[in-house]
Amino acid sequence: MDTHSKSFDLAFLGRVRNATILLGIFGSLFVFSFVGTQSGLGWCAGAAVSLVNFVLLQWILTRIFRPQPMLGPIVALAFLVKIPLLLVSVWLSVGVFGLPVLWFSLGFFLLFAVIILKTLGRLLVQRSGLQVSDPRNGAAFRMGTRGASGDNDSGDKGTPSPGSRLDSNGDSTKSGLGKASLKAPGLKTSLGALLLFFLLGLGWPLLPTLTAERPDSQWTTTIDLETVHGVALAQTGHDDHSHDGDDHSHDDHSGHDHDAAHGGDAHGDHGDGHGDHGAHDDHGPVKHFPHLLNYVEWVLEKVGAPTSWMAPIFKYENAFFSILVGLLLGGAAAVASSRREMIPGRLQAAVELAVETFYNFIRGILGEHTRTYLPFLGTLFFYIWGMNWLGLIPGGKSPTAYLNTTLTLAVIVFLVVQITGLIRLGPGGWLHHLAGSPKDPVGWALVPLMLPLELVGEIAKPVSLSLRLFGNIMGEDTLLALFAVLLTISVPALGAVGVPLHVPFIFLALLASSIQALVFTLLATIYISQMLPHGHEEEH
Amino acid sequence: MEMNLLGIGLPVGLGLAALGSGIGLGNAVSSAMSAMARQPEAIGKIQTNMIIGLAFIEALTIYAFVTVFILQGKL
Repeated sequence: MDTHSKSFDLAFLGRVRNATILLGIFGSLFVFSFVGTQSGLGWCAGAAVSLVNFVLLQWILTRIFRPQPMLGPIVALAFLVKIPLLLVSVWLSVGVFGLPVLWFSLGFFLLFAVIILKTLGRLLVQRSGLQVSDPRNGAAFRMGTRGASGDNDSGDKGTPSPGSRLDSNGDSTKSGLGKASLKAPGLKTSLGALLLFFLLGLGWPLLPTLTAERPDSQWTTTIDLETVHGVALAQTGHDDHSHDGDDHSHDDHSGHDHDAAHGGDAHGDHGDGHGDHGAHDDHGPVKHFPHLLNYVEWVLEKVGAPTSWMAPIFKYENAFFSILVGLLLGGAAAVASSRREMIPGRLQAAVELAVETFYNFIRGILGEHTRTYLPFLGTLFFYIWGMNWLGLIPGGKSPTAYLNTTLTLAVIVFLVVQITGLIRLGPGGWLHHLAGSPKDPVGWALVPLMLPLELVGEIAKPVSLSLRLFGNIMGEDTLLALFAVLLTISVPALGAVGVPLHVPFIFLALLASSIQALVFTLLATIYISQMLPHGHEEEH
Repeated sequence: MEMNLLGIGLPVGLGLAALGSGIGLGNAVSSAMSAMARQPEAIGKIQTNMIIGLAFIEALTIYAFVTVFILQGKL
């Protein structure tokens, strides 16, 4: 088993692909956040081109190296298609869309770096004679190399782990490697990696000629930086209301026509060819990273398509992202519940686990009434959680960082609580509750004092609920944006690289976002439980 | 720009709010911790109540923070 795990085989390709996908996602997160929109897109495009190329190559290799090699016209065609495809995609992303060459190349060479590092790591491990404790040395891996391994693994044939089917090497395991595999490790490993390297890189040397006529690629990177990370530092007076122009509920500018202004100058200035729409640069400070809509607009402008139709979407971008989260959650729930089985699949198991945990949690507070309120509270929790986390994903934006969203949620909670009181306690009981639940003459005498207090208390609940969530999430997002640009603002030379100062705070934000979603739901639960006859008695 | 007292008042006010909240949070968490250590079987309930209490305490700082943001335009 150990000899095969160290040889160069098709399972190796699968692992390289997966490592590259993972690294590409994390890397793009970084580049999007620190360097800028265009650089991030460049990275993504580079990694994607490289990966598509790689997968095609993998497909071809599996066809060639199976026990009965398939060298039909399809394989030849695929091989012929591969190189023009690579060239065209490189030309499209660098030549047409003008993505920064530096980041495109970095994304492209990510795969190569993974191959080299993996090969080096293997050689190192072999040299030192260490026993590899790779989890993939399990059944899945052995299945993948059974063809090459001969009889060694026959004892394991009966025990393929259930996870093997889900293993990433799935496609290469099916075809098997056959006799053609390079059995000896070591030198051949490196030779194979080198071959792969060159096969993948075919056509790459042509890139400089393609980009020679674009000396402004560095320019795009710089501009990008300024706009993306102009963030929040250049606060100028009232401009700071214009971005959250629909956020009137808390300021005294509600009389002004910010909405109209927003829609108007948002797009009046976009035609001036800066190519820097990583953010709404004409709107004074931007307090968050550029999001999906900014990217879409940017791409549309590069292509030359009209972007004016996006104005209403920008105006209601919080609603857009809320609906996005709603659709995602609803879709996941629908898919998970549509094909219910006794032995749940992954999604169903995850959803069941979540629902069950949440049910147990709520039952600790609401007791017998849990089933009535669980749908509402569960939806509230996962919806808020999703919205909070959306701001931490590149391309996303937290709708909860705006008071409109949180106030709406809080008002809904308020209505549910009051209607619960009206139904469960009855109108009389509800008024009795609002009067401070007097029981003795002294209590009744205090009703004129208690009634206004309780009323104010009821009104204060949604206000504090919404302000808490809004303040936390906005603070979080602003903190991340500020820390991302902290050093690049003071030391502009660092701008080309970006200094990831905000990374530790991402983990803090992940935690705090979850806790705030929990707190919102928890308080809603408590407010409901106070309106229930049972919780009402417990109060005294 | 002319000197504006808000420039001093906002950060200092936020700092004061954070100071008070910090003391409150510290008290709450330390009590909850000793309660949990004393009665590990009640950890679940204590934790829930602690989180609710923390949310209420922390909200005070958040109010100050929101105020800072609202008044920031007047700097």
